[in-house]
Amino acid sequence: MIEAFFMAISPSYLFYMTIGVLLGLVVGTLPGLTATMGTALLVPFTFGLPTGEGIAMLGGLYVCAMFSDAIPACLVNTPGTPAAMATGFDGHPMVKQGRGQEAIVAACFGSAIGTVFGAICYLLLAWPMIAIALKFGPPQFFWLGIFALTIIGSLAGDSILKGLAGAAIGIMISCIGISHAAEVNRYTLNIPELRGGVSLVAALIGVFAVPQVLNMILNLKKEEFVAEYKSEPGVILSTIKKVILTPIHNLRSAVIGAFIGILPGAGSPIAAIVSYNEALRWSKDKSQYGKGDIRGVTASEIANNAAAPAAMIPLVTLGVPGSAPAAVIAGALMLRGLNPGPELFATDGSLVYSFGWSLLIAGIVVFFVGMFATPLLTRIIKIPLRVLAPMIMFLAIIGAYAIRNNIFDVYLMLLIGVFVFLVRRIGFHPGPIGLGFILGPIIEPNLVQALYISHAVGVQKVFFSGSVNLILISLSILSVSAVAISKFKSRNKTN
Amino acid sequence: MKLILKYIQDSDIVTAILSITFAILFYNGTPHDIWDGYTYIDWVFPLLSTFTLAVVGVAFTVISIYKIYNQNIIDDLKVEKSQFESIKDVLVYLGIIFLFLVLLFVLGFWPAAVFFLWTGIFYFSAEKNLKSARVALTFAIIVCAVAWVVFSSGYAFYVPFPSSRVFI
Repeated sequence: MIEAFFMAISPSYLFYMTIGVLLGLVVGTLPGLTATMGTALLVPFTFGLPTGEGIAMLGGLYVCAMFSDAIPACLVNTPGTPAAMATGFDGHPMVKQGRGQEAIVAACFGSAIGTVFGAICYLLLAWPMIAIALKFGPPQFFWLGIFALTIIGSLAGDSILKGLAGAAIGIMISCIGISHAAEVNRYTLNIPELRGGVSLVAALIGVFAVPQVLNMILNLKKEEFVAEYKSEPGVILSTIKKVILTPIHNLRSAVIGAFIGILPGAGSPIAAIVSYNEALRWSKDKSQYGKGDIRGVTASEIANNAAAPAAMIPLVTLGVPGSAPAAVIAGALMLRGLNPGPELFATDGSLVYSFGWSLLIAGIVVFFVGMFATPLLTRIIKIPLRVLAPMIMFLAIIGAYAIRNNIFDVYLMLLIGVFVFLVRRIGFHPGPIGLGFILGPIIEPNLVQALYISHAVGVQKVFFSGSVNLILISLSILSVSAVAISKFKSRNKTN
Repeated sequence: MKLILKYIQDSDIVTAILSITFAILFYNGTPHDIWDGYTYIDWVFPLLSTFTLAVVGVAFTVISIYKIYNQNIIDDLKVEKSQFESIKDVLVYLGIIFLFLVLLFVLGFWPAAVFFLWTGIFYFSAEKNLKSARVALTFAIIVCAVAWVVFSSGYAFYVPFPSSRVFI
């Protein structure tokens, strides 16, 4: 492992990893370009490099995209990738309060903490963690998704019922397309383009970016800028201090992120959502969440970044990628004739460990790049809304199109966007709708698989037995009860 | 008619109508023979969501009936006259987007994008004169040029945007 460390700090490793980080900054900042797309596009460029440098570059891009997706989420309430959806819940209100720099610094520092924690897990705890992950099958993933859904109670705003309705609509729209089991057309209205389903990225841009632009236009007469730009000297140090002063919160977010990261198929978006929900549940003062609480930003960012290196653990231990970008990195290794899995540990251990060290160092590089870029990036809010609104819409159209090179995705994005813009008027929060889009495709395939298994052994045994199932069911009930009790208490207080 | 207009200014009544409409639409999209064999597995998840939405819709219907019965309608969706101008801006901008989606098949993506950005920025300009039109056009061309380098030139990414179907 020491030898691998020296490999990772060699100038060539550091150089290519930093290039990856800088590309990740661009990929994450532009809504619609995901870490998966970025790593996939970068793979051909790594062919000319030695294997170690090549995958360090891909790893650098992946972890930096997990940070930079927070920038549009905070500044214009449009997550750069699905993993940053929860970051915007508090990040954007912070920007509206003139605390834009604080929000981005918190996201950046949180991302660095998460990446370093995830990389340490990769280097030291890969095998014990994977033993726990192996206890997760389709029913457990189903319950994990249900547990993540309980965040609706916290996101829904004044009406839990409207939150529930929003999530149901999101899930129903995510079900459009060819089904998972018998491959039948569902709700496609005989439109061939709908058979491939609704693109998650286009849908999320529709949920967050389009209503945001239309709202900007609606308020153009009252507001000239997103928020007031304030350059505060010393904001970096004071924000870092604020984040450091919540060690338990940080550790909880990192552990949740790393654990969910190693579960194949779950990935950074679900890690960020569960972490945000847990931060809210364990907090003594819940009143500021959703209104610009720095802990909301760090909970999401620490978790989604811890999930990124952790997603590599099942790849190097079992040969099963933990996330879509990890699958691309697996492909890059296979193209070089290397088989990810236990075999790789035995034959090329130094490569496996040097990759872990590179991810850890990438976390530190992300921090410095982010600190350098924050004052520049925050200036986006100095652009007048009459210019910013058409620019965001233009980028939203490019992002929705680029993900599948399909103009139909742009139509869907606009349709969903106008729908969300209208239902916001009647008290629907876009969060639960976005949550439905993200969790629907995670919950359903696992429910389908679990139902097939239940034909052999029974529903009770599949869904309601086993320690992991029971823990997740209990946590879901606890989470729903906690929200119901707190809503009941706050209603009694106002009465 | 006046009474209906009054009712649809209450967000809870509109939520009830919306939820039930969505639930009915999705329920109608579900085949009726799903309980034969294992077909139900394909439909059980969307049906669960549909029923959840229907339950929410029924809950809001009950709330709405209670409100109507007690003459407790809140007109929280009422549009003030001062908001008409802003709503007009939103509708005009949606029109510009629609025009862009048509034009991109006529002119190709990038010329249509220049038009889209230019018209959007110019329409929202505080002063609409030749100078602001020129500034908006310059800005639109610069943004599109940068976007072309990033997305279409192949230096960073290569995204095959729709090309003109008229001027080949």
